[in-house]
Amino acid sequence: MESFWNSISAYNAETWPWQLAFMAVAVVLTLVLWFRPCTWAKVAMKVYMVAVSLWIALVYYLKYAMNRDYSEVIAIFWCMVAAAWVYDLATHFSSFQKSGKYRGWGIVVLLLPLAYPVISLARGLEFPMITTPMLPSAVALYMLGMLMAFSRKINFFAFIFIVHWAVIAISKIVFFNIPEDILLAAACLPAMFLFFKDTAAADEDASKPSETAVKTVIFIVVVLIGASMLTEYV
Amino acid sequence: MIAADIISDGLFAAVAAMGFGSISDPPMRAFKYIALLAALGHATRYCLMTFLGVDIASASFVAAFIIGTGSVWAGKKVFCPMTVLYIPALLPMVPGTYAYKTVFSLIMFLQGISSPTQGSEYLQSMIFNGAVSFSVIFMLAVGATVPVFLLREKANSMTRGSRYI
Amino acid sequence: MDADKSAMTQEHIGEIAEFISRYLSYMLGAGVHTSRVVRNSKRIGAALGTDVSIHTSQKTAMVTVRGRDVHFMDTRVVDIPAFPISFEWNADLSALSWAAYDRKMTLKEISDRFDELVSKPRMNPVFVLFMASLANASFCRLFGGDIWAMLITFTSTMIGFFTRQHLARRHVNHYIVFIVSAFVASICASTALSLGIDTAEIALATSVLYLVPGVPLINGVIDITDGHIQIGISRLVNALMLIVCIAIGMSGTLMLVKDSLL
Repeated sequence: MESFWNSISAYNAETWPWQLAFMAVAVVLTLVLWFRPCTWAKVAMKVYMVAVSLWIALVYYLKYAMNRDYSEVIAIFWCMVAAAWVYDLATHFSSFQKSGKYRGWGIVVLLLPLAYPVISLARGLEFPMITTPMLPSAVALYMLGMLMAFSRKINFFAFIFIVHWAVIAISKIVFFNIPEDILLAAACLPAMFLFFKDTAAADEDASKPSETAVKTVIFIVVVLIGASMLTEYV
Repeated sequence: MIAADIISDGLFAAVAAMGFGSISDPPMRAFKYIALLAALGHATRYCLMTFLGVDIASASFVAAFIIGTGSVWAGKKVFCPMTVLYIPALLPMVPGTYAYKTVFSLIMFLQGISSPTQGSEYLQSMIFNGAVSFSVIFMLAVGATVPVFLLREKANSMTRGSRYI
Repeated sequence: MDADKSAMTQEHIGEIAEFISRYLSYMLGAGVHTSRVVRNSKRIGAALGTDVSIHTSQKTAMVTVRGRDVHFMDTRVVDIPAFPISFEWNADLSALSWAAYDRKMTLKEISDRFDELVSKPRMNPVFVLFMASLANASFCRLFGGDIWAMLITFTSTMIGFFTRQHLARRHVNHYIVFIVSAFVASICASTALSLGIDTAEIALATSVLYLVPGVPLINGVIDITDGHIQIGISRLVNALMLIVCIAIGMSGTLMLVKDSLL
């Protein structure tokens, strides 16, 4: 736990200009995509996603969190997230188009990363030993927000990676005393239900089993995951 | 406590059988019997191995025999061929960890090929795990097929007069 | 059944052979064990007043249809298409053969019914995705994993299985599909190591088990015990190739995180 917070503090102290730059780019790209959607912005957003995943993998995990156990395993995981976005770039798998369905939720989730430092400050921590929007969970949350806001055809690879990350993050709440990560899990589970429900319904006209049965299964699974997270946390 | 262990074992085996079965697209009406047979079979194997100390291959054989016999009864009810019911029900008993350890030992053997002691240790573990996984899979399939040999006529006319055609 | 001899022309025998070869290629392609396919095809043949003999191998089958009291016959070799395994077809097409036999259906009726049965919708992919992930998580529990290991296995399986579905839809070679999905799933499961739980290795070991080709394995042994030894062995070898692919994908992960495992 000591080394966990020390690595965060070293990371913040040394890279805060970079972090600010990343955040600024994210804000600009989000606004452009929101108000003036165009092809170059979509491509730029995907490139940004690749860059930010690699930043987490290489800079955060391999440089600052190196003395934590198994950080190289997690760095490989974040490289896979980057690979998911590269694959998306290459095959135009997702389209960052608005569907208008979950825009409200999208805005909320997009703003959540900014809540990370606020919560930390409210808990009585002080810079540089605070959580910032450029920590892995906050980045995952930002990706999730983008997927929710532009949900016509989403990058499912990235989405399931984020869900996986939420499972890992929720365990850290207990181990490393970082309650900020609860936001990610709370946002992930409803998103899981919504996205998979839509895909299941969009698939074919005649479905086996019936659409309601599929929805019920998805719902039960999401509730089960939530319940097991909760029981472990309490 | 023992009862709870047995029940939870059967329950998880049932979920596993339905899930792995659904990859192979079974008819919806078969699901409840797949779950029932898998729970019965896996719980039997668990009891045999934990309480009577039977080895994994023989226990799998007995469990598979029970599943096979059960599928004769259930197959007639839902008009499904026996294989449709018993193959998914056998899937949770496929020895995954032994198979994994076979592969893992092979990799470790190749890594430690230069050191003779370590290398032969991993080689031994590979053969051990490989033999267990092979014999368990063989016993599973044979155990479930025995009822077919015993009840030739009945076993081959499961779908006769099906209401679902 | 005892159609008058005049109806039994060479042309009619040819039509029957055409249908039976299609029927059998669909059944074999959908992963039904050989003796059942042979039995069902012979039954349909008998219902239409013919004798049917079949020779099968892994990728092709040979059918001879002979009229009962006439001297016409028709022999053809069919390619067996690679369908995904379908137990629903297994059940429905077997029932069709009995219906043809018991209700004395004509070739036209059987063939129309066949087309209806094989165009039924398949299992919803999202449903399969969730069920398979749930199954793997319960599998993890059966091997002694705790709740964290189960959760990790669930999401890793989900990624791996989604990768498999996605690549299979794009008609990527299935060996490559297996290697890639095994690699992706095990990489994700290996992050369990960072949680510092002692069941992390169980999660890693279970995460690829959804790929194990259980149906061909068991089918192969059934074929061997039924005496179709050649095709049984080819099924087993086929399944073994897939297992080797899983091993390759997984060893990629093990090489990367090996130092952490020891």
